[in-house]
Amino acid sequence: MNDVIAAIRQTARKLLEENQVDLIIGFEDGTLPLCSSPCFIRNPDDVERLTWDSSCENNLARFLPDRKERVGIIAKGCDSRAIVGLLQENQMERDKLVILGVPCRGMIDRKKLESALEGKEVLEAEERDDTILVKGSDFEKVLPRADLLHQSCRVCRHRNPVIYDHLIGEKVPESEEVDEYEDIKEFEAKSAEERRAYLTNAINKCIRCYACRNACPFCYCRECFVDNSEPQWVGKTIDPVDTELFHLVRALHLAGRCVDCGACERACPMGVDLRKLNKKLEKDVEERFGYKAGLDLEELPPLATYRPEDDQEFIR
Amino acid sequence: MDKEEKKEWEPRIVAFLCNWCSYAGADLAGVSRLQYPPNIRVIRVPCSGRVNPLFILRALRQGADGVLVSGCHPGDCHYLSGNYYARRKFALLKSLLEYVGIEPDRVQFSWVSASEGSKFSEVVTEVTEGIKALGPSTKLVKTKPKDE
Amino acid sequence: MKYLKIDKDKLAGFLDELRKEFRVVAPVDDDGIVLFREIGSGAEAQLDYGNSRQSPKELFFPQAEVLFSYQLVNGEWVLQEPPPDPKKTVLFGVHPCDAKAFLLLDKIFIEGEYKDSNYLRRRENTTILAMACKHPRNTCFCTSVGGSPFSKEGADALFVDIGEAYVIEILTQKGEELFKDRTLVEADEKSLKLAEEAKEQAEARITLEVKGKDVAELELSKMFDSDFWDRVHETCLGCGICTFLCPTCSCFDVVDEKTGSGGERIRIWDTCQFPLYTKEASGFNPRPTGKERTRQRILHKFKYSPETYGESSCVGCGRCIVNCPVNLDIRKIVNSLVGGEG
Repeated sequence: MNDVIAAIRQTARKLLEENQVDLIIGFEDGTLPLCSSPCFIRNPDDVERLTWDSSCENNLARFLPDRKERVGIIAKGCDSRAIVGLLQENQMERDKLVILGVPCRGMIDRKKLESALEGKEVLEAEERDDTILVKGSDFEKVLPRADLLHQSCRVCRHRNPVIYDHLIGEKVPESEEVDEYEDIKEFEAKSAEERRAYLTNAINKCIRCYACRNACPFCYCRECFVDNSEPQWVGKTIDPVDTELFHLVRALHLAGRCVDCGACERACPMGVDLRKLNKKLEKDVEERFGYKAGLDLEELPPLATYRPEDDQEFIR
Repeated sequence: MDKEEKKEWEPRIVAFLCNWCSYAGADLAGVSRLQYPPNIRVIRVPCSGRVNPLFILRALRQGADGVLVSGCHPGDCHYLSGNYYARRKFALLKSLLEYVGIEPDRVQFSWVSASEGSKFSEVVTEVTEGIKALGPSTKLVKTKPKDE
Repeated sequence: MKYLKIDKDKLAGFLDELRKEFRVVAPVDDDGIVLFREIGSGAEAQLDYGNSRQSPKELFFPQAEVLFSYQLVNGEWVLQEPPPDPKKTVLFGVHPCDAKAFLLLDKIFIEGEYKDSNYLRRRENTTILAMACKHPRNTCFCTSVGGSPFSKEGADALFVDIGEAYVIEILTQKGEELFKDRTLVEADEKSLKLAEEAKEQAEARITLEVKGKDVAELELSKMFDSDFWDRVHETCLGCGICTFLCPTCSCFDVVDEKTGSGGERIRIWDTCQFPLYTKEASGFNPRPTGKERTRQRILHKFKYSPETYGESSCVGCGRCIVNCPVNLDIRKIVNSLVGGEG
């Protein structure tokens, strides 16, 4: 890990000193244990703030749309796919972007850690190769890293960045046997009543704070459909129908674009199981249209194209 | 108004019909005096590709018991490819609605051309019967229409 | 000032007794998250929790509140207010930071020229039984903003955990009314001493000082235009989580929603962190970017509130720190601002 950090700092310094970029977007140590914070660096001397570990969970591509500066950005696998998606949608210019791709072994889900410790506060944490050491006021525990990974990292098939100008560190092996849609298939097999019961319960936790939307790199609309009042598509209260419609429409708006970075679910303060919806649409898009988001800059987004032989069994 | 018998419930179905094919097909059904249930409320759109999934969801939110979207057959779209894009959008919407437990028959789609008056009346008859069997919509309903 | 005592294993029973007369709201575990909900039985109450995810402010200031409904009846518009809650409420287990927050919300909703009648009625009909904070978290900083883990502000009675039992300090007439004729014993000298020790230990736990008070001393004209804010706001997502979970944030919007032949006027939570919040009908927005909005949040809590209400409106609960997706830490911002970076 230290080699990676040194390489990130070195590359960032070079890019700034040589005036190849105006700004570096990366991660720095957070104020909580096992927590990193995105950081914006414009001065080469500040590169020593840059860090890299299993808490660098945010999708930094979120900060790219509408930016006029030349940006050097740290991108793990999912972030790099989001960058591809944003380039496909012309949200920034490729030649204003320098991508520092960092292969990723998955990020820790602090909420999983909290429940593994039954709510006890972590005061110190140390990351070792495959374990995490955590200390509290009255405990000390070593936990396997694999148990604490965020769900989207567990099923990730693109740990290595798919687009980059500089590759930081060694590529990591991709998971060969993981079925990323296993959870969805299991859910699809349940009865309609069971599915409805689970989803209405999950969605009812929502307090309409829109953190999911704001954390998502693809939710960059100047006016979100929720804020439209003429016509008002969905109401703004926590009414269950309006809240369900908000989540269904957001999921539809992300169809073919979402790269399952997990930023939405991680941001949600109430624990809404958002990936149950987004992942389902990702699966549908791959099965029906043979398209996977964020892999090919030249490909057209799936809803911007068609094949004459697209399925129409469902149409009378 | 006092009624001696309670009127049997009739579903309200919103039908988005594309101007060039399905709306014309509906018109043909009319002039041909073909009978079909009177439950649909027609909204004419230039093309099935114009139909935003938000329209369909809004109809359900405002108390529609069902929604029908009908357009030109693939290859015959007046705007060449509108219905192809629509096909993809609707496939995803229908799959998602079923996934979250909405009855599949509530939202249906068809290709009806301008010359298919009888197909139109068949489609509407089948769709209405299907929705009637489901009963009033309860799941994504925020407000019921005025007179309920 | 009266001190009572209740054994821990009797508490659930006590809450069940209260439930016969009152709606009892307490911290409960909701799928791994602690939230304030009406309890179905005394045993549901979580007694030892770090911090609830959402603050209990929604008890007095609901997320969505119907102000009135309007219907067309025989050609005339008829306005109707929703009926008030019939049952009185006991709010149990709030930490002192959240109890203090109610007093700060009062300044906005009921201490001005216009009183929010719904809010007032709810406040009057609720008895607040606070739970002193034995284990402040690392993210707590109530002591920096005029509070303390054992503070009595805002509470009608304060429960203190002394191991096998709780010492209950009755603080107000409402508290006295609630405990009248309940079979609880008076606290003995030993228990009172344990309570005092617990207080000292808890207060000693909070070590990080947040220079919130010093922000109020800084000159606004210098702070306002500083490029400090340019740097600070950049990582903020504008997601609003901090304001939604904050016990003192009270920004709202008023919307009308149609229902058949009429509609409802509803007050809903809003946030200064959304651009739409300050957008004017002309299209002009006085807080067009994250810079202005982040600056607004910090200065409102630590500068404008002291000037308007005499004290900061941050209670140091730490929820914004724990839940911010990008770990934008208000403590760090305030200390940097005071430290001269502003």
